[in-house]
Amino acid sequence: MATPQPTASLRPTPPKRASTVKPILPPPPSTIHPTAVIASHAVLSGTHPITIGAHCIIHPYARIVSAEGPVELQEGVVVWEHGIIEGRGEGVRIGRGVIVESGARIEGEVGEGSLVGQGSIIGVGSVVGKHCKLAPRTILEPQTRIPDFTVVYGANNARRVDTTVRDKAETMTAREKGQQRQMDALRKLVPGNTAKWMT
Amino acid sequence: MSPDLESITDTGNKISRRAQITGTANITLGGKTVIQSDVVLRGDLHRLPQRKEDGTMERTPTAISIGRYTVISSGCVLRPPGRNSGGTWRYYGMKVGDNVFVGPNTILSSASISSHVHIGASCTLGDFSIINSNVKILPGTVVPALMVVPPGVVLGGQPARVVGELGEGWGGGGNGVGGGEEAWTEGGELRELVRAIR
Repeated sequence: MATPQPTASLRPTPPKRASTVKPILPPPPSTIHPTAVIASHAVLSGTHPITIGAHCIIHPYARIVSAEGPVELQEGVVVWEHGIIEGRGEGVRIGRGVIVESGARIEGEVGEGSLVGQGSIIGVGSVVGKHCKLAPRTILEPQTRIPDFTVVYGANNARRVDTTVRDKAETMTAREKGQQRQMDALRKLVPGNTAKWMT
Repeated sequence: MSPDLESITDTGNKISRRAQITGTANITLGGKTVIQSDVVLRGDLHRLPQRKEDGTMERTPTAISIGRYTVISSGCVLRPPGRNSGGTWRYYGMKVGDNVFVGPNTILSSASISSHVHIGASCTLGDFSIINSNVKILPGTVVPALMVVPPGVVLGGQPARVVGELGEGWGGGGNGVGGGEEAWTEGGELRELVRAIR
């Protein structure tokens, strides 16, 4: 194996060139809690208001788009890279402590404590209940309703009820504690640039 | 080589200018590796350096290491796996071997992927999954977290199951010899493919 080279050392030095990025639009009217972490490569765009609650973490290359409706992220929401939240109609509300994994696309409402797996799509006007879990690559058609504590999994969107979390309070607290630790670690590792989006 | 799209490092890695790489200091590429556009490499999610016995801090550990002649297609996400351990959340290193092909829009959080693995498009590889050498993963497969895949099998489904075995001929042929033959095969040497990508 050749000597590992950090990708930063490029040769020859890339020539300076004009940026092909479109002219930057004014940032959306957003209310961002000062404890939220928004990476500088995350994108907030649109014209409707965006509300980001306390302790939220928006990873680099995640997108929050309010072009067609307002977006509200409640306390402690994590949006991973390539995750997209698009406001539609009356608005999209993401509940407290929801994790939106890589490559997921959300155009509907998601209740408190739910997990949206990698590459999942939640269609327009869908409502996902509290403490649900969507397995990776789950695709919910528009206007789907998922009751609380449901797990959606597999190629045919099979559903079952997560009775362990529903009936045992200690499981729920353990899960919340674990998530809290993950968020603490992420807050140290993900460089935030929240000031960029403050209006 | 179109200068607008790719840049080549000292060791011959071809990295798209539109690749989305964070924490470059914690990523090692073995050389002759292709990173296409919109690929996310999360080098910033590394294990925090520990204090050594003599009181000094160790070097920041490598978050993602990728071998030679590996191709990461556009839209992929490589994110090191993490878990709760010893009261805190920790990230662990992620290793990808040589001659690995990763199809577009695949999300990888594996602990390790060995050499001569072919991963189809739109797959999801869960946290701490381990893929042994000479494995073919069909497009759209969802490999659950912590799964260990034995060598020489075909994986498919959601969640992933072993759907077949690879015969003796896997990865053979190709290599650009023999006129009309394809220059590369799934699971074989990807040197010709890497050379062809510009």
